[in-house]
Amino acid sequence: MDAPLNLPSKFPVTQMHYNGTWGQILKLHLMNLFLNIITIGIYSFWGKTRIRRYMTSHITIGQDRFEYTGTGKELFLGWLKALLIFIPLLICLSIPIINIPAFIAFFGLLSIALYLALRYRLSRTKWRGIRFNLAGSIKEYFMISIKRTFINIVTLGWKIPKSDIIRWSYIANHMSYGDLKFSYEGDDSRLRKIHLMTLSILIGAVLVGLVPLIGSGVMKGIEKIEKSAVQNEQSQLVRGVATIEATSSPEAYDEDGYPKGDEVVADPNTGFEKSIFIGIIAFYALFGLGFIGRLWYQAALWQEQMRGLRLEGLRFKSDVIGKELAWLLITNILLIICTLGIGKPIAAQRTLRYYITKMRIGGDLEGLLAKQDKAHEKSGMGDALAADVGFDMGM
Amino acid sequence: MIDLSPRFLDGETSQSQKVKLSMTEQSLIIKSDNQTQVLWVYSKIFVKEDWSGSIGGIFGFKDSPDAGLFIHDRKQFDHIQRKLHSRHKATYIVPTQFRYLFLLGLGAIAAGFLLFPLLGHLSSFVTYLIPYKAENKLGDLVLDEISKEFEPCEDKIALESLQKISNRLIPPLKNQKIIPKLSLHESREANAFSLPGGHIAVLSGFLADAKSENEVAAVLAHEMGHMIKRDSLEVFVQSQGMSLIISLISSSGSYGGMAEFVSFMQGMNYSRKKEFAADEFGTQLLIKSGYSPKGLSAFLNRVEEGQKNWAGGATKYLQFLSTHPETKERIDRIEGAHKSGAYRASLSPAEFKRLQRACQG
Repeated sequence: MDAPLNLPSKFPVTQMHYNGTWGQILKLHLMNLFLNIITIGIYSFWGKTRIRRYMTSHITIGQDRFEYTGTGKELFLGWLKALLIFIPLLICLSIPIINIPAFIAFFGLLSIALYLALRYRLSRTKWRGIRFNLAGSIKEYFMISIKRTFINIVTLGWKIPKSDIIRWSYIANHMSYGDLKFSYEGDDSRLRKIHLMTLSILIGAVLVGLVPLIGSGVMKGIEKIEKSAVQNEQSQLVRGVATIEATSSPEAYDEDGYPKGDEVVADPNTGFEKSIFIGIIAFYALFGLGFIGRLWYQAALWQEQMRGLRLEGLRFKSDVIGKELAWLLITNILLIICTLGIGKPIAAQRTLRYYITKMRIGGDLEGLLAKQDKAHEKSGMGDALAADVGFDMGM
Repeated sequence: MIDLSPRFLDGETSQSQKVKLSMTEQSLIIKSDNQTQVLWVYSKIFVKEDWSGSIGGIFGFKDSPDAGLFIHDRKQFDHIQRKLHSRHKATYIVPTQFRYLFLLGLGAIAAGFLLFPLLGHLSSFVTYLIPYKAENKLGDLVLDEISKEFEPCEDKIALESLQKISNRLIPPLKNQKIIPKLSLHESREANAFSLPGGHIAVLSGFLADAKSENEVAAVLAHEMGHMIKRDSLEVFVQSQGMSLIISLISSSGSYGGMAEFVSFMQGMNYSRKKEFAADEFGTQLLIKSGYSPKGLSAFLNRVEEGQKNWAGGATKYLQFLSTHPETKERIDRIEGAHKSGAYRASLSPAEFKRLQRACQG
């Protein structure tokens, strides 16, 4: 089970494993789909729990499996509670003026989605019978998120690595395993170079992609000005003709009731539509390339997040790399497209497997002595709210 | 070499102990260092994590939910599992075996067949409860959305001509609570939409394609049929209900693509019944207004031809085809009811030609 070391040799190193199979996860999803249809969607909360349980319980450290203890009932009740917040928020978003504070609230919800989802899920996850937990306050995390987002905007993205590390630092320093607290000390300077490189690629790709779009837009503007001038002339001409042929004469129509005369000319917009279509395709292709480039930063960030994490004498290391993340993303997209969406659970499992198998834990795991802490009754509402704003952690 | 001996975790600390198990008729005895550690009665033991290949399975005990017995020997796991109550033998109720999947698949198809008509009836009822004021507001919102997709066209001459045709159709509708409001939009698609609140959006592609004033009047009359029956509002209510169900069905986060596809297909068209009803209403309206229903069948005939000729005209009618099913049957019904193509025109040939060139500036 033990993997080659990259840490000081006095530490035993244990690699994490994911043991789920694609056949089983596909069968589970098909079953959930059928049961969801039969129950008009009500089963989805129990289905989601079953998937999470399958995925979590197939992660192992050494011989010990993780356990997921969340229930469908918790998610269902959490969803009902979340609706009470989310529906008024959606209504407010469509009302002028009120939508400004509503948008801020929505954005706030978006910024704490990770925290909300993680808090519920950690409180329902056990290893060796001991619960994980995420303490801390939503308000504090929200303030940190808002502040850091503001700084990111003001510095035109320069401070993104520091912001990412500060946010993770808050989460990691409030995580615990039983009575043992995790600690985290990060170093954002390690991320600066890769951040600047990948951000420049992204911005450059977007700017280059915008050129054909802006070009098409300018062409459209010129065409419109020319058109409106011609239209004015033509409309005056038509009015003159219409006055002469003021009443409809039967001779003007054929026997089926169709007017005799010329066919309508072809639409002159065709050429423009083609060029704007090519412009949009080029924009998305370049944006996609820029986005893929950012995966190198994501990999470096994940490595850094694990590098500074401690639990008693345990240290963590992740070998996630950008090239492999990009390959994973591209193949997952192809898998989902080729299977018309049915392969999405397999793609989620591939991602989970990749992240898990790249994790190594250094230190004496056998000697780790954590005592059970009191249960923290976090409701499923946070998880449901996070899902409402589109944050589902792929599970 | 993997150690296959069972391990026990008491749920209070993370330290596991290698244990030996002995089984009696009523209980499982967990021993450590030849001393009884705990005694679990079978009626309270449950499978905490199901058996899975190389990683084994875990048993739990109801009275101490954090405790766990980790088993890595399949025979041993099965042996204990057999002693448990049927509800406690697995973490799930329905196992993922092909026969269950097959049965559930059949059940889902049956549920789908029941769900669609049920949702239709429910939507009709909800639509009936919605006040006209609310429908008008919704109509304005929907028109805004349509205007984002099809750019509105301020061709006053074309709009005047359209209004002239519409004005002839309106008198028979005088007792109705909704009056049609026409808007013109730029598009190469040959189509017109009835929206909530009496809005009828006409696409310039349809006017360019129309061969006579009678055809324009016929399509407007048909859309007025949808308007009077509040079909678009009903479809809106239905699609919202369906969206809710779809979002629940897809919320397991794994078949969103498929669910969205089903939702898209569902939201695309009026039902066959609604189309026939709108045709019937339109036919009567055309006759009362001095137009001929043959205008509608002539337009539909062209759509039908386009359907057969994908390489040519089909793309022009793609939008129409996606929102109006059953073309052939509709033509037969309209032509069966009314043979004559004679009608009284309101527009001069020049005005009609100008209408055909709507939005072409």
